Amino acid sequence: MIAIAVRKQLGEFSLDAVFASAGGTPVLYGESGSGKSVTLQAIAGLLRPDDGTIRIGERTVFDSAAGIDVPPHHRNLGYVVQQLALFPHLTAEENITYALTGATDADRRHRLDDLPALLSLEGLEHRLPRQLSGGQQQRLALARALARPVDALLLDEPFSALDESLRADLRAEILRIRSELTIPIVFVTHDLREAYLLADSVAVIDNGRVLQHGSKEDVFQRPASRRVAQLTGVRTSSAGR
Amino acid sequence: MLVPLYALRLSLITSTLTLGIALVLCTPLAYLLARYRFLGKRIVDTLVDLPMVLPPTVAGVALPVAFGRRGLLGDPLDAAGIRLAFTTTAVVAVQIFVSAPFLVRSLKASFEAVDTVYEQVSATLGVSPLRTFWRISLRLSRPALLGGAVLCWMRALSELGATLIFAGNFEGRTQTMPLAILTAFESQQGLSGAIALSVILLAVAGLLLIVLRIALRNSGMGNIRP
Repeated sequence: MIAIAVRKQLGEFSLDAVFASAGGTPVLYGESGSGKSVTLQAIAGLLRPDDGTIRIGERTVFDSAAGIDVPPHHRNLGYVVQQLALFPHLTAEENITYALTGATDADRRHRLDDLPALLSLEGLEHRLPRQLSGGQQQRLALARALARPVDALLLDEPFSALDESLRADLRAEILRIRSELTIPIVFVTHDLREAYLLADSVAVIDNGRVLQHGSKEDVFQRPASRRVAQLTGVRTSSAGR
Repeated sequence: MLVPLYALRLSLITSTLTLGIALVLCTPLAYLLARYRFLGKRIVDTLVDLPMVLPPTVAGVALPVAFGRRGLLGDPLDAAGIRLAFTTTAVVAVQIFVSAPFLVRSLKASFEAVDTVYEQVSATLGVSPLRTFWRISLRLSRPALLGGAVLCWMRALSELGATLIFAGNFEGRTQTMPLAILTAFESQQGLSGAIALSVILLAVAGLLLIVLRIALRNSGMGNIRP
């Protein structure tokens, strides 16, 4: 479960994000600059909201009234940023095990046996990120984020730099991960088709506000306002589903 | 002609000591300046640059005013049993004063060049800020760190004016290689003696530079940025 209700003033831009998801894959959908990524940063603890609450599972990681603000390294989340930010000086294997500092060698081995297979990275363990293809880098970023058991996975437009065939592969990958893990996967995208294919629930964000959130059928078929219809409707027909 | 080995040894010891102390002091300062906003940051920034634009002799005059026995901090230092002026400690103090800014500058620039997203991602992977600094920030800054260290060390090795004024020119205690060269120049040996010593210093400095270059290249740190 993920529940978030935060406000943040960033210069001229004001964010007022309220949504909750019971699980599965909530998608934050909106145009670029609408506040999706900022919301994700707030969940990850990289941006401190002015006030509000953020709950992940049973755990409150931020509550301005109660003075709770769990630092990012204690939030126990997997976070894949848009530019991936793979550590350039570490090999693929070292990138994956980066998060496993406290783990025993056996544990580490165990994760390393699992993850590259789960994300088809076998044989690439000793390459540096710059020696990997775009799709491989993408999968490596996912593997790194999932290396330790996390309470939720946050994905910020992770496929934006890839061409369509790779995007399709990776969407399938995400769906597979979702079926193997029970954690919520918060997915941020401005791509309507991606939102439609991956979402269990959708939150439509526009100009810092969540205009509508609910099941994807609700949001896409019964838009609550003209703006939501405009953001989802026109392009649904051209997306060719 | 007598080669003042003690001067060469003193130069190498003090400049290396200077580099070590400067690294410990400047690394956190540079990171602070690169990453955080705080009250008085501009003043600190300017103060860091000041020794670089000052003629060393001015620094040599300023240091006794602050740290000399009759200086501003002279009494408390005296009470603590610390006498700086005309000691080897003073040589190191002078060298730190004139050379540390070079290290701060290059370190600050290199920390600024490391995209904060790496540090953020590291945090979301459950790694504490201190470990992140060690494993990401410092590691990605290594080429500039080494470059800045070379600059700092070289500046310390070549320091003359401020040392002469604050630490004096005492054989075996404060006479570093540049001071020995000056002494030779002013003695009966004149230019020829100074040239001989200069060649020795040049050779040692050149050798160390080459060693550092090779070390840099072998660490493969030239092109880690994506």
